[in-house]
Amino acid sequence: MSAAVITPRIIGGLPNAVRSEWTKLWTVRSSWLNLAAGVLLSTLLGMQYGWGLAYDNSHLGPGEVAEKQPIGHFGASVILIVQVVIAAFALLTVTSEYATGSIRSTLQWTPVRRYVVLAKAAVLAPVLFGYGVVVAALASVAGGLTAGSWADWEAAGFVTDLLSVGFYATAAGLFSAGIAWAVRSTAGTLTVAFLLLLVVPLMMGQSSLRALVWTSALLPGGAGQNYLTGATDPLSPVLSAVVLIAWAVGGLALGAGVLKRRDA
Amino acid sequence: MITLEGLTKRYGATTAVDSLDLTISPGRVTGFLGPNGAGKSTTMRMILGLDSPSDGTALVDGRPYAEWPRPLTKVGALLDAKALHPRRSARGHLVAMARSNGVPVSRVDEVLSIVGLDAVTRKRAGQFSLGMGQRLGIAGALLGDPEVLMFDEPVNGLDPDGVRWVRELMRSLAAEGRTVFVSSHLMSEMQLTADQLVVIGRGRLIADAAVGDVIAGSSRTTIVVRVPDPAQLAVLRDRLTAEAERVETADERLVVTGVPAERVGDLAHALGVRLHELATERASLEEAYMELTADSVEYGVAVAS
Repeated sequence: MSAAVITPRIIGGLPNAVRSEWTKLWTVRSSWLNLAAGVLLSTLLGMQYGWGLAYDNSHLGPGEVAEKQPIGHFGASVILIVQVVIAAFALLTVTSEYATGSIRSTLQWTPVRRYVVLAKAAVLAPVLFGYGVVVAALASVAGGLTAGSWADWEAAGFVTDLLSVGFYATAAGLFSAGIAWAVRSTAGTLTVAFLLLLVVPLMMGQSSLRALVWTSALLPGGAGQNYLTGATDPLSPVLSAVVLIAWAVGGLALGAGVLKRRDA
Repeated sequence: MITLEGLTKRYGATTAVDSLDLTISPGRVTGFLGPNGAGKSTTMRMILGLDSPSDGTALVDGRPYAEWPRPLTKVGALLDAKALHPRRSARGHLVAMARSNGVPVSRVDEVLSIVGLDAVTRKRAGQFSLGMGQRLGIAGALLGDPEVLMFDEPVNGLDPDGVRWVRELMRSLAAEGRTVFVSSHLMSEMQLTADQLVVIGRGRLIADAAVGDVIAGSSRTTIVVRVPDPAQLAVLRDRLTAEAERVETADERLVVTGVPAERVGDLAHALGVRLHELATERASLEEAYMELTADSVEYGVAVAS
């Protein structure tokens, strides 16, 4: 081997780990396929919700009043379903490493394990935010076009709705990635994320028992729904956002703690 | 340099690696031998911080692997060629690896050409044959131009050309002053590649010696001396019995273990014994190894006597 001259670009484990994770994210096809699936699904769901609104408003029952809907609400509704795809995007970056054995390479390259968890989160956060905004924008526009005259295209509210969905997608995705470090298998992590983000909050939130309503509001899915719909009961949107941040940070801390202790 | 001090790994009641004390020095190839389950891979994994020791320390140039800021520029290792995402291209895998340690991406193309994979850089790693996978793993080990290299079974799946290429690569890396630590099951290959041998069995150190010494120390290495005169034969035999490990008589030959040929020749000369033959029959490394590890084979097969 000839004497290779290697000059470091950056000294520092964490920035290097972030660059590596960024490369890893975009050099597997599953990331791109997931984005395509999320984009397609949210556009179709947005169209369906728009048609649904138009149908409801033109087939009013006695005593019902037709209402215009801000287009951003289509995005907020669609994310309830599409969040599972977005959670899969985030958690697969972790579980695919365990499924393929590449985790052993990753930990050899970056032996400081908290850096690995942090680097993945640092790469995922902006991507998830952008993913959420794009998905919400597509659903909103698709819903707005199919709803026709019943759509309200007011810009300021639309932008706020998009940013809210982006925030929720980031929090839900990071939470999913965090627990993925602890669960490790794709099916297992997806099940936990599906239950906590969608199923359990949906079931409990409809209850007339206050204790169940509170439980739902404190779970990530319920907090997300309350945050996105601007609900004030039982928690204000700001407090719901705090609950979401707590789940994301808590999930990542759990993941980092488990990874640190376990042999690769 | 790799330094192990009291390195121990326990899994419940099983002790996979048992207080290993060892120094692996630069400038030579150190072969790491032992039966299946002897703890070779576990030892290598502890050196890289993939497994944490139950006790003791594993240091690379005085520091744990994880404490080096850009560890791939310190230690290059191929432990498991399958530890990668099968749907990522060979080049993508190495680019991600380079970025993780601040190694310039131009180095990726260099190592791909060193291992002879330049034609398949876009191919997905999962479609690689066993031998190509090993070459990709070796490319990864060389990526950071490290001072210390570790390879676990590097010639696994390589064709004869590949085996020879790996042997020459190891020799040249050691000649450049690097520390080369390599495990293998192929004794004939180790005999050609390694300078120093570390043999472990059931997690314990059995031998840490130069290859020549391991072979010379084997009871299979014998001196054959032919003495035509039966009386002189008896004189020489009695004299040798005093200092040899074992002396056997067969017709007009003595088969001596534990005394070098020079000593046998000098004794014969001093005693005035006329010789027709004086020869050293060296054990192979394989024979020496089998003798060393006979008691520590984990999955031993009973041999019909």
